[in-house]
Amino acid sequence: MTSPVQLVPTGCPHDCGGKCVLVAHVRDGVIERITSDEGDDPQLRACQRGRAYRQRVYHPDRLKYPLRRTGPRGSGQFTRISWDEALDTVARELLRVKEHYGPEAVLCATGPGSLTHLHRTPLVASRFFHMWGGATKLRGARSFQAIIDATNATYGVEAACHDIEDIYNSRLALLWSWNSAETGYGTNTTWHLRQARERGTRMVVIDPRYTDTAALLADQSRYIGIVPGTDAALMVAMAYVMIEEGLADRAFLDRYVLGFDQFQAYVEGRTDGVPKTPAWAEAITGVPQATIRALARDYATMKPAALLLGFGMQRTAYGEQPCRAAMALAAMTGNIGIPGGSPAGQFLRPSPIPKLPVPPNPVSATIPSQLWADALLRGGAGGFQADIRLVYVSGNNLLNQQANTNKGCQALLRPETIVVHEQFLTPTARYADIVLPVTTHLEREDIATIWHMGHSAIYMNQVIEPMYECRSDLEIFTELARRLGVAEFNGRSDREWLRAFAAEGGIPDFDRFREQGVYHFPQSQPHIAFREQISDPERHPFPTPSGKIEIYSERLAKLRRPEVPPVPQYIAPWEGRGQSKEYPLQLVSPHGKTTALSTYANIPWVQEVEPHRLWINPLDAVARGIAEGDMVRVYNGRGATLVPAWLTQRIMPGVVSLNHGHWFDPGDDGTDQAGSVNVLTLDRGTIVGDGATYHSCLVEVARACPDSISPLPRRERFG
Amino acid sequence: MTQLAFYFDPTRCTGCGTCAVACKDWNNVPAGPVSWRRIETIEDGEFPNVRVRRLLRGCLHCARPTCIPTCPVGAITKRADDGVVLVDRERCLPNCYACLSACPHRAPQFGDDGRMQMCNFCPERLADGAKPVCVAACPMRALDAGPMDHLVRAYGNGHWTEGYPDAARTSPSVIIAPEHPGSD
Repeated sequence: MTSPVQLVPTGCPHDCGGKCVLVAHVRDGVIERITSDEGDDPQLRACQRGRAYRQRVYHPDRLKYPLRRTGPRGSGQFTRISWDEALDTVARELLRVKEHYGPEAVLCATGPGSLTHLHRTPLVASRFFHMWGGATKLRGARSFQAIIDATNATYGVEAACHDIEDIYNSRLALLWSWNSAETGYGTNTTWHLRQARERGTRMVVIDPRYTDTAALLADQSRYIGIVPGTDAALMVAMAYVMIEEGLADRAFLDRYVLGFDQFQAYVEGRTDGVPKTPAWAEAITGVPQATIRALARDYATMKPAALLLGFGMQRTAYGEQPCRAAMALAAMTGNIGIPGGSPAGQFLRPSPIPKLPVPPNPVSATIPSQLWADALLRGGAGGFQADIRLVYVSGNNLLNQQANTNKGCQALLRPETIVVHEQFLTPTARYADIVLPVTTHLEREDIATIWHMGHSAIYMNQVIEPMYECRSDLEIFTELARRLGVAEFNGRSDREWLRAFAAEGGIPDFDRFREQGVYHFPQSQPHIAFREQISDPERHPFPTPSGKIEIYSERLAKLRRPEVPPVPQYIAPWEGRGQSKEYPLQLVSPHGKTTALSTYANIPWVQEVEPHRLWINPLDAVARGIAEGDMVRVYNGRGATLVPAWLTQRIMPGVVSLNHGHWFDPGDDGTDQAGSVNVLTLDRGTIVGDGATYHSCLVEVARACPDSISPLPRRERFG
Repeated sequence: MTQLAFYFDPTRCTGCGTCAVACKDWNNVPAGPVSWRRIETIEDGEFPNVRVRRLLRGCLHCARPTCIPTCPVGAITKRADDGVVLVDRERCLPNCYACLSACPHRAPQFGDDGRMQMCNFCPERLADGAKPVCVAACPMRALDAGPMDHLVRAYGNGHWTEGYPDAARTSPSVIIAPEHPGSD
C-alpha cells in the first residue's frame, strides 16, 4: 500500500521576472512530480525552467557539504570539511581581514540568485555585512542600470511603468528589444501581449533578431530588424519625422515637458550640423527610410500607444541614450499618464510586501560593478575606492556572468580569501577557498512577487528537508553572526519573518495564503504611472528638479560629460558596426529560453529544449566556409569560445548571437569549450551608473576544425 | 465512442518547450532522444522577411491508426470509449520499429530499452477530470484537449497544416488553428 501523495504549493525564485506557481507532488519526503497553477484565473503558469525543478533539486552535482580548496584556484580541487570548520575558518578570515585592513577590504559580491522576499540573496548578504561593520559593495545593477538612470533623469523616479494588463487599452504597442517570450519578464506578460494582439492591438517588434517574441506578436510586416546599438538613432529620426510633419503633441510638451526645444534643435541638426533624417538613420540602423517614416507616423497617430523597452537596448555603450530618446518620443506623443500609453520607463514596481530589512552600509566604498576585476587587479593604486583582500560571493555566478571572463579569472587569483555560497560547482565556485552548500528554494520557505504585476504574491512552502548538509544563505549568515558577535542579525524563524511580511503587506489571512499558495490583491484597474502628474500637474509635479518631464535633464547637464548629454542623442557605440577589420561581426548575448541567467545551464530537460548554438546569418557563414552545425570558434582579443553554428535567417548579416549563461569551461589552451559568451564581452560600464554593456562587442567567427562532426542533434528532435 | 483529441494554435506557440518538459516530468521520461510531446520549429524567408512556424509533434491518437495493424505482437490498441491509442510496453518487441515505419507522424519513440513509448493522453489526469499535463502547462494557452466534437465546435475543423502528412491517411485526432491570427 503506497503512501499518499501530498501536493505542496510553492514557487520559483529566479531572476527572470516571473514568479510562478509550482506544485510539488511529494511522497515519503520525495518530490515525484512538479505541476503548476491549475486553479482559477489568472493562473500563474510556470515555464520550461520551473517545470524542470526536480532536476535541480536532485541533480547529482549538487554541492552536498562544505569544501576547502586543495588545488590551485579554478582547478576545482576541493576536500570535504565540516560546517564547524568551514564557519570557523570563514569567521576567522573575516575578522583577520577586517582587523588588518579594515572592513572595506571585504567585497560583498552578492547577486540575483534568488529574488524572493526573505531569502533574497542580495539582501541576506547585505544585511549581514552592513550589520557586521560594513563591506565594499559593487555599484551599478549590471542588468538594468542604464534604464534606471535614464528614468531617473527624465521622470525623477527609478521605475515608471504600467501593469501589463493595461496593454489591452493600447491601440499600438512598440516592443523594443523586448523578448519576453523567451526571457519571462513577469508571469503572464507574454500571454497578455498575445491576447491584446488577438483583440486588435497592433504590435511592432524592433530587434536585431527575429525572436520568438517577434514571431508570436509581429509577423513579417511588423518586425523591424535593427543594427545593435543604434536604437537611439532610429528614435531620434522618428522624432525628426514627427517634427517635420507636425505630428508632435505641442500642448502636452508645453504643459508637462522641460527642454523640448533643445531636443528639437539636436534633432533638426542645429546643434551639430547633422539633421537626424530618416536617410541619416537608415545608414546607421539598417532600417529603410520608409519604415522609419511609417513607424513615426503610426506611433504619433495611433493613440494610445505603448512604447515598451526591453533591457537589451540599454546593455550597450551609452545605453542611457536610447532609453532617454524613447521617453522623449512618449512625451512628444502624449502617451504618458494615460491608459494604454507608456512612459517608456524602467518597469520593476516595488511590491507592497516588505523584504528582509537591510540597515545602511557603514562602509561607503563601492566599486563599479563592471570594473570588479580591474579593482581586484589594481586596487587603490588604480584609483579604486578599496584594496580588496577577501571576496564573499553569494547568489552570484560572478565570474560567468560579468563581462570579460578571462580577466575575471586573473582577478580572482589576487584576493587572499574567497568564500562562495553555491548550489553547484559553478565557474565562480571553482575559484573559492571555502565553498558553502546552499539549499534550493524547495528546501526552505519564502514569499515571491512578480515583476510589474505587484498584485499577486506566491507563498513558497518548503517542500522537502534540506538536501545533504545544505543550509540557506540566511542560516549560514546567522551562524556567522553568532560567531562574530553581530547582535540581532536574525532572531526570528523564517515563518515569523514571513508572517510579519505578509501582515505588513496587507495579506489578510496568512494561514490561508500558505495553504493556497497564491494571493491576488484586489485591484480595480491596472496601475498607470504618472496618472496624477498628468491629470493635476500643479498639485502633483514630477519629482524632477523642474517638476516637469525633463527631456532636457538638469541633473545630466551638471555631470558635464559629453557621453551623457542633457538631451537624448545617438552616440555611436564602442565596438560598433564596421569599427574593426579584425573583428567584423557584432555579437549580442541575450537571455535565452534555456537558462535564467546561468541557472539551469546544467539541467538536462531544459538544455534539450534548444541546443546552445551561435546564431549566424547564412551570408556570414558561407563567407567563412561554415556549414550548418559546424563547430565554430568565436573570438576576439579578450578570449575565445567553441560552440556549434546555427545558420538562420532570423538574424541580420553582420551580427551573431550567442545566449549567455552557459558555464565557462576552459580547455588547456584557454579556449572556452562551452559557448560561455562572456569570454568575449567587454568590461566597461554605462556612463552614469555602471550598468553592463554586453551587446557592444565585436568578434570574428571561424570553423573550429574542418572535419568536425556536428554535435547538433537532428532538427526534428528540437525544432 | 467519444474520440479525444488535441487542439493546437501554432500562432500562440513560442517554442518555449514547457509542454515538452512538463510531459517528461509527469511521465518520468529522462533527457535524451525520447520525447512524447515535442514542438518542431521551421523557418523560411530571408532576413528581415522571415516566417517561423511551429508543428505539434507526438501521437495524435488517430481515428484510423496505421501503427496498430503493423505491430507484429499486437502491443498497440485503440481504447474503445475514448479512442486514445496506447502501447503496452511490456508486450512490445524491443527494437522492432514496425510502428515507426507505419506512422506518418513519426510518433513512436524509443529509449534505451528499445520498446515503444508515446503520448498516452495522461490517463491519471483524465481520471481526475483534468486535461493532459502539456495542455495545463502551456504558458501561452496554445493547447487544449477534449472530445473531438467539442473542439470542433470551439475552434473549427482544421485538421491539417503544412508539414503534416495528408490527414486522410490516418485521420489524426487534432484540430489546428489557422495561421493568420488577429486583426491589426
